[in-house]
Amino acid sequence: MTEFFENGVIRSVLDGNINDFEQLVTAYEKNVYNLALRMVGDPDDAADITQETFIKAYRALGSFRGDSKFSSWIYRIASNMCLDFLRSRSRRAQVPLSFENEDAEGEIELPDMSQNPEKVLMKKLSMEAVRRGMEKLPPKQRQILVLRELCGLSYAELAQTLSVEEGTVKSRIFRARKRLCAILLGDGNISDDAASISGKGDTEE
Amino acid sequence: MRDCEYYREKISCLIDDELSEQDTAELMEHIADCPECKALYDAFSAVSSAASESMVEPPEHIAPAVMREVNAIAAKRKRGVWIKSLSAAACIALVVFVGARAGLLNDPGVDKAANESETNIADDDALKGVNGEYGDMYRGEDANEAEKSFDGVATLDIDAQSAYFASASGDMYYVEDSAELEKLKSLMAPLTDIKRAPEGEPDYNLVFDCGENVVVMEIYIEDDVVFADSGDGPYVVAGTPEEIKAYLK
Repeated sequence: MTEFFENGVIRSVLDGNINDFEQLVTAYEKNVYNLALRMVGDPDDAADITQETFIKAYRALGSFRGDSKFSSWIYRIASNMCLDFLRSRSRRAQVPLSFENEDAEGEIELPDMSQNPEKVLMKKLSMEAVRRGMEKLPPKQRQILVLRELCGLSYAELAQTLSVEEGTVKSRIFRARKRLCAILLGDGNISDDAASISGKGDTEE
Repeated sequence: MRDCEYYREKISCLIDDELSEQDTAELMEHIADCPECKALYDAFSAVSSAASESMVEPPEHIAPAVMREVNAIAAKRKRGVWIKSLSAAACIALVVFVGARAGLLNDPGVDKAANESETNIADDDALKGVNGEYGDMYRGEDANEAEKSFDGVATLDIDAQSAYFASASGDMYYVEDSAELEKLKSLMAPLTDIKRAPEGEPDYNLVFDCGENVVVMEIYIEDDVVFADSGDGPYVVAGTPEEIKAYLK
């Protein structure tokens, strides 16, 4: 759906053509559901969050000004709901969950790939391994990687969606990828004889 | 020759097609000569490729469930229109009542008219007085005239169970605590009609959830004043911008 057409649909909904809202749901439910699923892990919770995201969007549609893209707006609602859900789940489980210092955390040291470069990535990564690896990322790193990899947001769109500078987007994605590679290497998913991972932050969650 | 650390973040940017042509050329030159960075590039590419392919189809029930709820909300809003009108009328009656109490209105008949209105749009029950200095909060253009103060702060006559602010950017701020809700209603009570319109688009929609109905107000927060508009024209609310912003956290 083009941005022009999308804005027309939004105007139509606001003019009282309620059922036109379904076009927006249809256009974004797959991305929103996958965002929620990667963020919270459970399919039922992800479905509930997806549903609630669109209901909230409808309730607040009158305040959508169109100075940002609808996609950025809906992903922002969805990803904030996911973070709220994770916070709530963390409180229930009495497991502390750190959201605030992910960008300032210690560096993950990548293994020395130059020792056996030909053995790294000997096998194609399975989607399931990557999915499991992403679940181990800190919430905000998981959030930005999902928005980038699954929803296809550009750095500018990510900056708008997450209300951060593009420089933060760049460094957070880089850190997320490094950590994910470290997790996959540690789990033996990238190379059977990968070097061990050192560095702090791995066990943060 | 720059060191590898310089290139690593750029490798991530390259994967995302977010690197300039010049930086791309420089990076590719480095990768060709550096086995470690080449391995990192391969690792990032493989992870990115696998991650982007892992989309699944959403359950089929989501869209119909959303549309059922959306239609229910729309129906509630239609039924709630009369409450919006009632709320706005209550606000106007409140201004008359408050003006009369403050001695701002010269015609003694106005007080009587405000209190003995047979329309029942708003009566004393709608103007639940609590201790406070109403006149001191006046920040309209006639502030000097309204410096007189008196006991009693009004509150909106809305039987809401909860409320939320919705921003244009999609942020939602919920008010579910009953004491906070009561305070919000008193902050949103009208302080005065205005002699100028708020500028631009509303900053928030404030939605009072009354169970069967909802009351929607557009909120404009300026440097020194907050406007609300429930459909019959904007008015200045009793709360200060700081007091209203306290709910937006």
